[in-house]
Amino acid sequence: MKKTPFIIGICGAIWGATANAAYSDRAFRSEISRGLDIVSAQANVDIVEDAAPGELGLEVYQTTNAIDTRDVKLFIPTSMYVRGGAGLNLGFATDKAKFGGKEYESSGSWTTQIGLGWNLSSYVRTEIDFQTSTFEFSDLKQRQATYQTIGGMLYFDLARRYVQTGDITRRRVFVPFIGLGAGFGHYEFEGTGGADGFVIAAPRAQVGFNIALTDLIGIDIAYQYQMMIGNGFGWDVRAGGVDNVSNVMASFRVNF
Amino acid sequence: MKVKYLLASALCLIPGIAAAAIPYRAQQNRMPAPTAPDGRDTEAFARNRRFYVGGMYDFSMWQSRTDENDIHAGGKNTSSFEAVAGIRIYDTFRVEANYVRTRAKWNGFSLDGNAGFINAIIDARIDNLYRLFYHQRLVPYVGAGAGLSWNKANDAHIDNKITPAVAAMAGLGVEMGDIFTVDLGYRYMYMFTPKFDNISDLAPSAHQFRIGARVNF
Repeated sequence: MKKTPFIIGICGAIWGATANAAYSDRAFRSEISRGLDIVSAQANVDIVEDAAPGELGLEVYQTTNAIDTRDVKLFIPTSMYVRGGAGLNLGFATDKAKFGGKEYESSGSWTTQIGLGWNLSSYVRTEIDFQTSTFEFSDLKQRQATYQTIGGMLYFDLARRYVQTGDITRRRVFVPFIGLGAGFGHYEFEGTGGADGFVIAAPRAQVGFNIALTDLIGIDIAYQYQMMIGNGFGWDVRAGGVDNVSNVMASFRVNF
Repeated sequence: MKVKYLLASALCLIPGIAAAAIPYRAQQNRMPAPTAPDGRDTEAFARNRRFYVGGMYDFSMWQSRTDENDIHAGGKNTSSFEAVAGIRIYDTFRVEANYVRTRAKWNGFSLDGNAGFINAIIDARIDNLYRLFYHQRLVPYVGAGAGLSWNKANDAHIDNKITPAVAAMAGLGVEMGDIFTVDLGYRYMYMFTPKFDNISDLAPSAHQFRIGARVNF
């Protein structure tokens, strides 16, 4: 009879443990969303070289050169991407704006860029983007110009972003590219006599490289040249002609 | 003797029993096509979280402007807020109604606005094949919107109380689970000119940096 309290205590402990036993809802959802076969395969895969028990097992089943799954990644080509970034104008490679008979070099001018693209193949891409630029000029305070353009580009990667060879897919982390396209929009040199109106950026060309940080995310660094066809570049200037604008662009490209 | 007859009769039955074939019947069960979603289609997330609401803080850098008479309006930085309510059509595409409180300010005068936008947004959500192997917590997006702004000028007069407005945006959604998303974004907003009396053709435009949250349901 003296053991009865101990038995009751043990039963109580077991009761408590079983009462608190619960399946994690989050873990459950995670397993279902990832695929239970994947979860179980990752949990159960045997990456250690071993032999099945027994003489027959030793003879028949022997795991050698097991692959460390940490070194194995699966690359799946993507169909689209988004881009967000900014650019800095290269004053020395941009036409000087005319004001009062003098020429002024662009200084501290910058651009923002938002794009949506399609991966047509492992080395061809196309993209539409929106760029807005603000031009400022050295020694010409309170004068600026703004551009808003929508453009379309066709890009050629100079090395395939990924190469499929049998079951193995190799993904490059450094991919140079060139691109060619055009844009159109509105621009304005603000103030009396400023050139403004409709502008065409044709051609718009890029040469640059992509550094792939992951399968999906990369950074693009590129030189962008635009030949602006508009109503002049500056104040009290002759309408017409073309003007050269050069930027260095940096943006994130995220595939999906 | 009767036993012999019985035995013989029993033996006569054996061939008959042995020859009895089991009647197999070929049967084809017509299975319906698997129309049920398997969690890896283009609406895997959208189906579970079709709608969302959110709010954001905006830091706006209003752009300067010099008009034809060389009157200069220097843009200021302002703070405001906005709210969104959206529907997720596909995992990678959503449409939202966007209320933006704008507080445009230049040296000497300002413009308060209540703007309503309809935004179309592409989410860079990885597709169904990737979903087997990766969790995605960071979901970048790009989008564009158009709407109207109801304006009120301070220390200036405007001709147009209501003006069209357009926007282009990009950002990063940080998904803290299915329900809660932190949103870090950039938007370029352009309002058509409300025709100020003190500076001609000033079309308020701003680079806006946004931070906020969305709740998916």
